[in-house]
Amino acid sequence: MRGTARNPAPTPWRLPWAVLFTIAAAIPAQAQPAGEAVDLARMYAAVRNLDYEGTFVYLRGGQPDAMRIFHAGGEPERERIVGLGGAPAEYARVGADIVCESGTSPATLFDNPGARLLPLVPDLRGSETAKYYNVVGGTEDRVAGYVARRVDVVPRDGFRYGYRLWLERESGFPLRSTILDGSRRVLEEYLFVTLDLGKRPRDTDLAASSPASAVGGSHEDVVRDPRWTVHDAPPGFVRVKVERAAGAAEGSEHQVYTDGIANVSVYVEPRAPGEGSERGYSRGMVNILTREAGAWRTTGIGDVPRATLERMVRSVRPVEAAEDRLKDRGDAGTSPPRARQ
Amino acid sequence: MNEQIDERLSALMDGELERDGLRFLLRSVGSDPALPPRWERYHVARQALRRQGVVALRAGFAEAVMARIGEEPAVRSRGASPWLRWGAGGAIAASVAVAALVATRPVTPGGEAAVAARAPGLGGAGATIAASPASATTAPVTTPLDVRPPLLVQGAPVEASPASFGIEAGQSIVLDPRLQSYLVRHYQAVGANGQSGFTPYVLLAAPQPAPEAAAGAAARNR
Repeated sequence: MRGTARNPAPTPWRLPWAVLFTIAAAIPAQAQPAGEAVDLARMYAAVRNLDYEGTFVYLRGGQPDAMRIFHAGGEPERERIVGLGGAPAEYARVGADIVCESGTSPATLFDNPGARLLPLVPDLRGSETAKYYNVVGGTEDRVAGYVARRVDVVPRDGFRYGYRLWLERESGFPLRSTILDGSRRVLEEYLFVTLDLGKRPRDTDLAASSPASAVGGSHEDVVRDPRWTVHDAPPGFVRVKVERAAGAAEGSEHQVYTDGIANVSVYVEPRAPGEGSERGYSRGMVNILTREAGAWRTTGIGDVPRATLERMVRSVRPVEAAEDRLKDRGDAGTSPPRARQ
Repeated sequence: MNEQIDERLSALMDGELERDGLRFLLRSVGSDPALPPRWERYHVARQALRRQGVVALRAGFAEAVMARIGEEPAVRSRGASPWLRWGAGGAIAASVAVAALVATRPVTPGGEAAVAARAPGLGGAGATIAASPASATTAPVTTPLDVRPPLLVQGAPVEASPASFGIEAGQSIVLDPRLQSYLVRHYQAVGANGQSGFTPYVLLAAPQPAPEAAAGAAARNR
């Protein structure tokens, strides 16, 4: 495969500002320019708390979709997104309950506390975030008739994507958001074309068209004693969750890593006979990499560059104690191979 | 292939598609059921960009438009003037903005890994992304990554496109049930952090392909 597992941190933005960037990288998190930090905090609050309705164009994987959004702040927070083209699709949320309806599928209920429907709004409130992203204020622009202030969230290395946000000047509401890769290509983007900030949508516009007739999602149990670890995660990615799906084979695990903005899931499961070695998939900012070696299959999924997934998937190892247990079970030599150098 | 079709769709919306291109496009429509919905989607996106009243089009609107377009060659064969031809196309649509919007990410085998491998150690030139707000979205893009509606899985519903993924060779596939399940669990896990937006629900709500198609996809994914 391409690339190596231990490349030096690749650099995404090739501009002749190396010296300035080095200086910026040395600035501690707390020294982030106050203006941008305030803007981003206001952005996150605005998406949650404001009433609004509007239409936006969402571009993902080269496919543009026009969508209508209705949002009512408060408790419980309510919102609904309706696709305006293609097969009928809508997503309605009341608090943590989300009802999805798409095509001919039955309306399905998902329980997802903390979820929201508007995409590409990074949560930059984490104290560690500024270690890995630089926030840069930009010029003013107009989006959907509002004056917007541009803010760039630039990764400090090539293991994560960058954001460019257009925030409404008064409220901080994100009128437009793009996610960019290391070559400044747009991977995903949304752009409001009409927006009524402060307008309380009607209840009928917030309600799902159909009641849910199915329940989606899956149950996973927390694993307190992980058997696997990502030995060589890129800087800033820390493990925040280890779970195992109900009924999964012994040794299977789902681990979640995050740098505060980008998220990666790593799945380790027994390998089925006859499977291949390594395969990758991508759509928009989502990448998937599956690697089969020995008796185990490792899959990484995340809104991160391929290099990040490669480094993580290729460095999955049994933790020391778990390795002993696996050997006792006769699984010696079945761990994924060491990362390629 | 998809790039050519997209260019022709865009030219048709601009009223600039010549006769041969139109014939090719019509043949493609006959063999690719994903095209009419894409045409419809582009139009709605253009409407939205123009801030015209956006309404949900009736079901089958795209097919009706394509049927009308299908009559075009006959008109032309009777010697319609270039002005009439232009007008007919122009009446259907005209938008350069959408052409810019449909520009997609280039195929780079290995994706960012290749970029990363080529650029180790370069100074963090990322203090700014670009000077112009428009430059990020209108920058010329070379070969688009084909991650459009599932072309390899015959019979898969068009609306399953959100769950389709491009693979390294630039083809488009529907993920097998195992990877779909991984996606669901991934978004469930990270959704609690409020990071995900509605994207996961587009993926989750995507109808499953027919059993035989799913089996085929699973076999290909292995």
